[in-house]
Amino acid sequence: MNPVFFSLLQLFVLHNDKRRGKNNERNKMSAALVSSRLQSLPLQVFSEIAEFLGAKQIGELSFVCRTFNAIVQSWKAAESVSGPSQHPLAVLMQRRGFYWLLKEGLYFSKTFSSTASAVQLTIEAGGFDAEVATELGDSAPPAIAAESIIYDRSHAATVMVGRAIYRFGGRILSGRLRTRTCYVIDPVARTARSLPPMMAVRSAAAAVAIGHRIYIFGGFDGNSEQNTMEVFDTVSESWLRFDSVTHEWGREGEDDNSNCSSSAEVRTTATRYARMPFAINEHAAVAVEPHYVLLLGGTINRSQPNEESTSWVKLYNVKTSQWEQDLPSMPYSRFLGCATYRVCNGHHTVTYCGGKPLPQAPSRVKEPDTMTLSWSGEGDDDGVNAMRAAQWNATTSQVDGLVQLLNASAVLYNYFDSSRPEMTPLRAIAGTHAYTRALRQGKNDVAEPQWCRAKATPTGTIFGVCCVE
Amino acid sequence: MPEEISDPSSVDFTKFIVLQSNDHPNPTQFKVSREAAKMSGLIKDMLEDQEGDAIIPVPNVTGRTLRFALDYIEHHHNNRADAIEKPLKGKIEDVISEWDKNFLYTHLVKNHDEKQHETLIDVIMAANFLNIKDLLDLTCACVASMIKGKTPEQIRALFNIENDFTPEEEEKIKEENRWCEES
Repeated sequence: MNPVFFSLLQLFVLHNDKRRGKNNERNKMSAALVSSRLQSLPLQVFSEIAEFLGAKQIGELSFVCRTFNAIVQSWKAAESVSGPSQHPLAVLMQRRGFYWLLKEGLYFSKTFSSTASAVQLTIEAGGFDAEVATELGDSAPPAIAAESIIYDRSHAATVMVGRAIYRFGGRILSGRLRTRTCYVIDPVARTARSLPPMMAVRSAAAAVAIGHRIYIFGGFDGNSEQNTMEVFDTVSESWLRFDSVTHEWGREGEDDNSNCSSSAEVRTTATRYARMPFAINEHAAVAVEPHYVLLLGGTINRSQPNEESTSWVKLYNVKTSQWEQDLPSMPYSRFLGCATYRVCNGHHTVTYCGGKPLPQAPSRVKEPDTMTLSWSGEGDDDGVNAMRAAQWNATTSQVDGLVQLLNASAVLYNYFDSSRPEMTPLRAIAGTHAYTRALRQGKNDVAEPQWCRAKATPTGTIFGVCCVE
Repeated sequence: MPEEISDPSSVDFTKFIVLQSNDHPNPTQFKVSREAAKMSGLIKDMLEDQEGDAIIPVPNVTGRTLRFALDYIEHHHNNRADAIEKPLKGKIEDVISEWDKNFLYTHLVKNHDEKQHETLIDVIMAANFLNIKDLLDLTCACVASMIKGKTPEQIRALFNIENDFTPEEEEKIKEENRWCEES
């Protein structure tokens, strides 16, 4: 036999020991059970496939056949060199659920089941380890900053990418200091660490994730609303630069492989932020297919005598990095509400919930708590004309004072799988204090969403709720 | 596409290596640049350990499968694909490049017919053996995309898996897994 043949096979064995830890898993499933090619894959490959599924479905692989069931069971009590431990996927199945971001910390609820009349929450305070970079980009002393990474932070913009929760800016030190610091939470590993800071101090900014990019718009720095946006890349964990000539967001140095003169050119036109044609604060943002972001409501002239909320709907085209003509304004002005988007069978819906007007409406006036913009069809223009022609529809629920209950804290869980609209498990919007309510929309899209009252909830203002699946 | 060669003696081994499939009795030989071949963790380690001419027989992998793996390597070694988000958002088609889509749905999943996934499984095995992480991610995500949203019954039908549970066992497993049914 050729000696090289042996070396490659031996190397493979070594590789595998390195990759999965010795004795961790049997290399192959028992040959006697194998009938399908899928069942004959090495266990490690099977785990790699499973990682791309939602946690719920990973567990359900058990139901397929004995072989799959044996694998899922083995994850739950995997042996490792250091003794019995759990496979990361078993940990994920345990820790999948809802993460509530409050000023004083982070709470976990395994389930968020809602019946017609109530939402069930079992709340557990999360014990997290924080890893903090020494340079946080703030004047706050490191000792205080370390605590502020997860605890004692309000008004941060919160967004999820994959199974990680990203938070940008907000206020720390009991609300005294607005910050440009950011961090990422891994709810499965139960860790948190800081990220490179933003250029600008942003409290009550709005963020959306599109693929691996997080777009952050506006916010308040303590004196005025911001009229800039920034884009964070979660793969390189770096801030992208905006080239005002090509109108593209790119990684630093991404384009300068070719030659030196062009890279010098790139540097002169690229900045860490892009200007927006308006300043805004306490607004909501939502990504809309195929490549738009809508900014809804918000406040202007904050902390001045003429401060007021807006009913604006700003339209950002992610493909061209341009602000397009505004969409029809909401019928009522709002700030600190939240927005959700859903597309089902070519029918698009943007819903804005909660929030409140500024100046306050007289208390006897019952203001609508939910506003909906719907349109159908796409066509050659990526649906932009249908979006422009769409009408807002405002509804007032039977729940007294819902607008007030939701204000300043309306947050959103909106997992949506566009390829399988019928599988969308749930969507929920939760408000504040003991009166958290959820807006549930079930598998049947035509059913009207219902407001439900929570039986148990974290008390205090909720600044974000994320679902890990 | 990877270059198939018949005479390795003409190869400039300072820049290239030759990978040989395990087809008997006539293995296929492919010329691959050293840089590209390093996308395989296995070959990278090997090239670090070893100098000089390299005609490397690849056990377990047929010429047909090796060609697909090398096609991927040659396209992506200078042009790495973005990591695919976990869990998958939507279907895999929504999150990968045009090139990767063609790569997956021409031969690996033949004519985009999910039933015809034999080659996909072959390439997964090859990517795992050669330790080509990005290719393993792409192909595993492709299988996940096929599984996603399907009931156990539909999964069995798609992958020719026999339901080998007795009705009592099935009931018991559902009971034990109650925690993963909540939502």
